[in-house]
Amino acid sequence: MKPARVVVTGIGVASPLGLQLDELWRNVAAGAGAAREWPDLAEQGFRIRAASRIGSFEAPELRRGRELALHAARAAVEQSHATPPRNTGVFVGSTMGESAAFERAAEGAELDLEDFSVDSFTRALREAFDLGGPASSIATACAAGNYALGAALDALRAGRIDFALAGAAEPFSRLAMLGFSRSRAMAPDACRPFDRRRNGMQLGEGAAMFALERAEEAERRGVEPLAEVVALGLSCDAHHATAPLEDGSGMRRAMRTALEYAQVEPRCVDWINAHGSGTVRSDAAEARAIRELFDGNVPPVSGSKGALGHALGAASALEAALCIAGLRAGVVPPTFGHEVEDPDAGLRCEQRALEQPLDIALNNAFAFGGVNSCLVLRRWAN
Amino acid sequence: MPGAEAMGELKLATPYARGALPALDEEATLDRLCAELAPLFAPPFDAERSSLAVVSSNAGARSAVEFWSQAQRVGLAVASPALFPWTLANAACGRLAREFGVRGPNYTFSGRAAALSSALQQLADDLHFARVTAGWIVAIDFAGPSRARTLFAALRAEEAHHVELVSTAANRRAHSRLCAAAQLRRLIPRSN
Repeated sequence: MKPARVVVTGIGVASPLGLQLDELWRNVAAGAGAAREWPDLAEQGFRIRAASRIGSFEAPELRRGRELALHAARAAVEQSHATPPRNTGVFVGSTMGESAAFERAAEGAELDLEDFSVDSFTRALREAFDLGGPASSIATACAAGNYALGAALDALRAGRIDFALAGAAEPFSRLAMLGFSRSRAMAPDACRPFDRRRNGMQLGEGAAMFALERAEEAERRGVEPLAEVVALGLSCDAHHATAPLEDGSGMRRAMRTALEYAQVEPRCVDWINAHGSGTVRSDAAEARAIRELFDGNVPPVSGSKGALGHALGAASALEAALCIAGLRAGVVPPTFGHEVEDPDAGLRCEQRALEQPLDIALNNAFAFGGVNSCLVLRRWAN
Repeated sequence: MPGAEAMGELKLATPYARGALPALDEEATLDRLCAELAPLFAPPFDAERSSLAVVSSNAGARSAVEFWSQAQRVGLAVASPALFPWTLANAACGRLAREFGVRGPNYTFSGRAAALSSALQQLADDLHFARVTAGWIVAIDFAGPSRARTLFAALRAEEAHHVELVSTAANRRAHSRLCAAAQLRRLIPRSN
């Protein structure tokens, strides 16, 4: 028996290039980039001051992540034209939760840090929408958004819930800014995914939340889905605390597993939204994984971390939103920051928006600890 | 390897381990935990088709505070990056995966009772959909300001096992609190 089709009926985002998906997509497709220098980082003594932050989003310092998640969730629910039922499942991912709380605690503030964990985002969404269904707070770092969507997919297919809110949120983290910078993983000037001159990541922030339901339910409600969530593939390198397997085998396994679960052949993939963090090792491993899986027939590849920065736990959720926007528009967006192909990595990214029919997209997300995820998304067609 | 055991209201028919560790930093705690859990990860198992989940309400918290605190003391320009990887909540699960060679799905659930429920449901789904043939859930309550010791509990489930967990009233026994003070559900391979 075929599994139930699960669709996205609403998307909300908060990003450095837009607080609504239309605005975000327009900017990314036009080749915009959000990174700039921040005077407050210089004042605080950071060596690297460039980041992609949402300057226009105001929120209490210790609850910025929660507010980003709520902003995105409200927009997703509104677009879905649904009143989330009480048993709605809530699946939220993040890396650090409210990083500012940990920083303040280190500076002497008396805080119960469990109130500021990833779980605090989930609780906030359940409270905001008065929900009592299953909930997961997923702390799988840079893959958390994909994981959240996968959890919603399972719960909907199993019939445990009829509606889901899933996604991820990550407020800007000075702690992460320092950690990546001191670990020599951060680019001093720009993030250049898969570029020959790439020299690190740039930090971002944001949130993306999705309203999901079974396709039959959306049809019953008279709502046109935005896209279909088909499958999630996962693997773990079990190799190193931070560096991926050089041969990309763990990343390749996640992608291959996703395609197997989706019952999609590699040749049917129209677009890969790469993780493309801009670091030397991770991009090289991912490039090798993609080349070997697709055996010379690599579909168009793009990456958005040059444009948006690396929003850590929220990155894969924001990028899933971009995948859906791209599938609907029939456009692979340009890869901001990719100008010169790295001959060693051997992976070219689209530098201009590419218009072509798109049906299947892969959303790659790889995290510290060798945690690998690949989400298969399909343009909605009834 | 522990066999079936009863812990108050909690009955398990699957390999299980539990215990307490002294208050150490997270890296040292994980080193000790790996030694404690080694029997639970005894082969055979299919490394690529086994899942590993950590459930914790405070994984990474102590390291995050210590990392930022050190940076404030010595200055950002010379802060040591050594502790940074441990500030991420999923560092513990990565450490366990490396120790025992578990290369399938790797999960970290943040929270207490609800997080354990999520982990159990995920394991049930992964087994049911044949994404894995074995899985471990490790619940860790790291030592910190409000607790003197790190508490842990872990279970292993495979196709042939099922775990029956029952709702309990508040249980003051420190070891079982991790697993028992939650709404839990049957975890049984389904036939459909």
